[in-house]
Amino acid sequence: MDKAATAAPEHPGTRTVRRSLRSAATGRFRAWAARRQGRDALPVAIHRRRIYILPTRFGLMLAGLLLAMLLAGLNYNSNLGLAYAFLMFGLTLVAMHHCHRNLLGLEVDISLESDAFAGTYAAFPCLLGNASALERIDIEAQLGAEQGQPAVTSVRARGRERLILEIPVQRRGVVRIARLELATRQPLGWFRAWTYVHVPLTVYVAPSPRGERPLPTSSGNRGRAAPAAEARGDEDFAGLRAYAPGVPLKHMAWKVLARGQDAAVRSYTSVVAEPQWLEWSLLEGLEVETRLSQLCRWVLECHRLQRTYGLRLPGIEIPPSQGAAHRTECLRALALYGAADA
Amino acid sequence: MKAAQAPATSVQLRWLCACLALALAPHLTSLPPWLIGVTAAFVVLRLALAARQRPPPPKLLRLALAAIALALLWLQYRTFNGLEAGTALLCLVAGLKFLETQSRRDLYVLTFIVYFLGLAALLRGESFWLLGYLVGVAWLTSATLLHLTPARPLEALPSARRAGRILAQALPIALVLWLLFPRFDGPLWQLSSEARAQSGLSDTLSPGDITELALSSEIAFRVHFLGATPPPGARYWRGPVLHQFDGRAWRGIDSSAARVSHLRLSGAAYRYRLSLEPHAHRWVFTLDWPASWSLPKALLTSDEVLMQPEPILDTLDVVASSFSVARPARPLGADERARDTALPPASNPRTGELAQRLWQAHPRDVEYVRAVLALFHDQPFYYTLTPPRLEQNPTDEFLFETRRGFCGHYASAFAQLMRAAGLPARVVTGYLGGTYNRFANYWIVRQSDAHAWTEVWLEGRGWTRIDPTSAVAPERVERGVNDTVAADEPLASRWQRHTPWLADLRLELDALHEWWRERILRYDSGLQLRLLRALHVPDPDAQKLVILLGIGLGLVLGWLTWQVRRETRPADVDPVQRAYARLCRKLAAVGLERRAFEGPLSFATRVGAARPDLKAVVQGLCDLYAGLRYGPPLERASVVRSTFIAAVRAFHPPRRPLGAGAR
Repeated sequence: MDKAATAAPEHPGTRTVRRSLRSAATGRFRAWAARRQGRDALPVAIHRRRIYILPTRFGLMLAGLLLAMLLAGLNYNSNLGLAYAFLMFGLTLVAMHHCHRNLLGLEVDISLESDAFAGTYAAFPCLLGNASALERIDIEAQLGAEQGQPAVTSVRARGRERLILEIPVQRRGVVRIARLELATRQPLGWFRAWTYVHVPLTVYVAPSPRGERPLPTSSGNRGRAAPAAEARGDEDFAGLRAYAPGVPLKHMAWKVLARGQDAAVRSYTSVVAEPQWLEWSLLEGLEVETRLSQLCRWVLECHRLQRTYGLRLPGIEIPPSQGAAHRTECLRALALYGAADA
Repeated sequence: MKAAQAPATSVQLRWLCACLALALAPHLTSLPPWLIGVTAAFVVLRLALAARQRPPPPKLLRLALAAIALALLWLQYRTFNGLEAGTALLCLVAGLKFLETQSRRDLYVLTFIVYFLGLAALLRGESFWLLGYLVGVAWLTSATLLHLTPARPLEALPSARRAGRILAQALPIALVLWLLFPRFDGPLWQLSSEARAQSGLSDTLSPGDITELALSSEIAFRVHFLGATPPPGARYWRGPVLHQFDGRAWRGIDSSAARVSHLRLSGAAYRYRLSLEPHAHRWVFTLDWPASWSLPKALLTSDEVLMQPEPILDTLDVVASSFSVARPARPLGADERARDTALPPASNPRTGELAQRLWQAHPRDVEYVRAVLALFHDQPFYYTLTPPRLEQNPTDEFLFETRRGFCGHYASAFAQLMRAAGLPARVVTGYLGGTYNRFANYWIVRQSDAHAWTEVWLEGRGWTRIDPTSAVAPERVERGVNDTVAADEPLASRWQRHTPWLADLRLELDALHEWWRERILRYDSGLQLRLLRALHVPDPDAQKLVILLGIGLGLVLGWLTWQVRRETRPADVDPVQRAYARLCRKLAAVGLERRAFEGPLSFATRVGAARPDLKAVVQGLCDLYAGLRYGPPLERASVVRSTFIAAVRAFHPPRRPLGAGAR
């Protein structure tokens, strides 16, 4: 039917109506399932009471076929025909059970937070664990309602499979995703079993990094330009100092740790270089989003150049530091800027 | 629905092509050859395109091809209804669908066609092997379906194994449904008669037109004699009686008028249970001469043929009794005499002359009959199933030229010779003989046992059966047709006949075959009620059947659910770990639960402190476990492992320390 609709563009209306009816129905069903199941605590083991199953389009076709087979067998009084029809009926029931089984007892774990830039994809690493001796073939995982990119994987017997689930994010801000949906059409494609995992997934969508302005030359409060040569002096090893959380992992002195001594960090000359302040006030006269985009680009650039930088937004000040954690903190501050809970 | 629109790969197409070919194989004999050719061409064309990574031919071309093929099909059948035309249509649709197959969606539709083709074959066929074959095809099709969903292609062998598992689990469901699903006695709606064309006797006999009598081994009926079995020469099964002769063919008359029997029956009586295969006519075969029968609506005609009021379209079971000797209770009526001595003028003149000559030599009826039989016996007449074709005056040609024929030729010629001499004569068709199955104590009468003989009215004796074939080939009467035609038959069957163990095997197979027919193919509401009685269901009826079906389905589905859930339980990899878990369960049952943080050694210490009586055993077992699991590799580890497992199994901690109860 779909094919006919694509071939004959004079009926696009029926298609949209059908689709909107369908999405309204699924929307209500999802809301009901969310109320029924409540919020989940990770990791979630897929219990049978949270697996839903319905025939696919082919399953409905099969139902028609089974009815035709039954009528034919009865009408021709053919016991062999009936035996065959009943075997097909049994096959359908077993396929339904196997479809349901394919999700049963799976263990799902997923990271709750993710960072992304507007206009790209947010990625959530997800772990599917299978403790049984049964291979789980073709598990489709999808974030959100329909927006997420479906990912398909199979989980070996007594194995685990790591998946990266992606969902597109358009605008800066915080995106909350209410659910993770796992589905399968195995074994014969006649049924689709699915389950919802209701965990609060959060994406901090930083502004898309844009803007042509160069990194501010004045270090804000000092009003003195940081010499470029000094900034690049990162590689000069200056000695070890005690570990403090937030230090870039690549500066860890692993060998020292391995010897059983206290954790230490290698320090470099530029680590002690003057901090670079990225300030909201430097971008006077630009639109809010443009300003944020420019700041975002600067954060990334400072991070790339391994500078020590701080961020000042109206009402927020992130003291100068370095490393991935610091970068995330800055980006989240940009993402949350202007939001109600910021 | 993205998955459904994914393109079909060449491998998937090839798998499906195999399924389609196998599903069409049982239909090959019934489909017109051009249709098979067209379907095969479509399939090959699509496969060739797929191998070159090319899309299907353009839509316009496909539509044109479809229109032409459908028109041809219509010309062939003039209908798309009924089993044969429907199957042909299905075959054509499968070919067209294959040609346009592009996405997985199309492949799914094709698998449904393949499944349905299997059913269509079973509506026609009845053999066990066909069922097995088609279940195999369904298996392969399901394995193909397994290829359609995965993102990563499955291997052939594992998918066949998975499909086999699914099929195996479906069998109990199918069995319960098949046994207990209510059967209706008639069809839901009337079928076109085309589907039920039957072979067998008809009420015409024209031996001159037949050049080869096909020996169909199809079963006409089966007989179980209740008591004595008649000798071979008395096993004439009476069917339609033919009165009218037009020079070429004998025809029956409409003798539906029933009457009280005018025969006085005597001689040996035989009782038998006969189960008649459907033959789409009204007559019921009985042994000469029928006296009583268990069919309330059936009537005996003036020709002593038992008739049902409606054509027989289903297996008919009848218990009847017959007497071997019959005497008339009244003389032959004038109109009957006229009817049974009539011969068409100006046909077969030499036969008439021969009759006149013989009658002048033997003017008494019994002598005349003997003389004609002697003629058949003494002259070089031959019994054959492949007689030459007879032209203008068939009886003349047969008697004076070819002298080769089967029972129909002899009966026809004999009856004409009788009539030409003024003796009332008629041709009786039916069956003679049969094969005894000593493995199940019944007689099988096949279409190849069909026979024709004559009855002549002799004064004082009435209608007397005379079998002219016996004068030519007495062994036909004594032993049956298979022993008679030794000269004509192919070598293989003669070899079978001379190999007794093989004949036994055939009979045993036939007994199995009969069981299949009786119990499987003829399984109906009556047998369902018998099954219920065997299950000790009081007062079985259709309602209880449905209840039992519900219970049976519930049980089977419960079993399936249990099977399915069991497989999803976490699987312990290591039997040692499993045994340790068992040990912990046993100790927990007596109130010594292992805490989550406790290792085997600290657990054992705690158990030893709480229950000194268990201390030695538990500490030993836990030490063993710790050694096996965390210690360095042991010598003869497998022995230690099995010792540990066996010791855990044998360990039964008492609820209280021994002796505690006495205090």
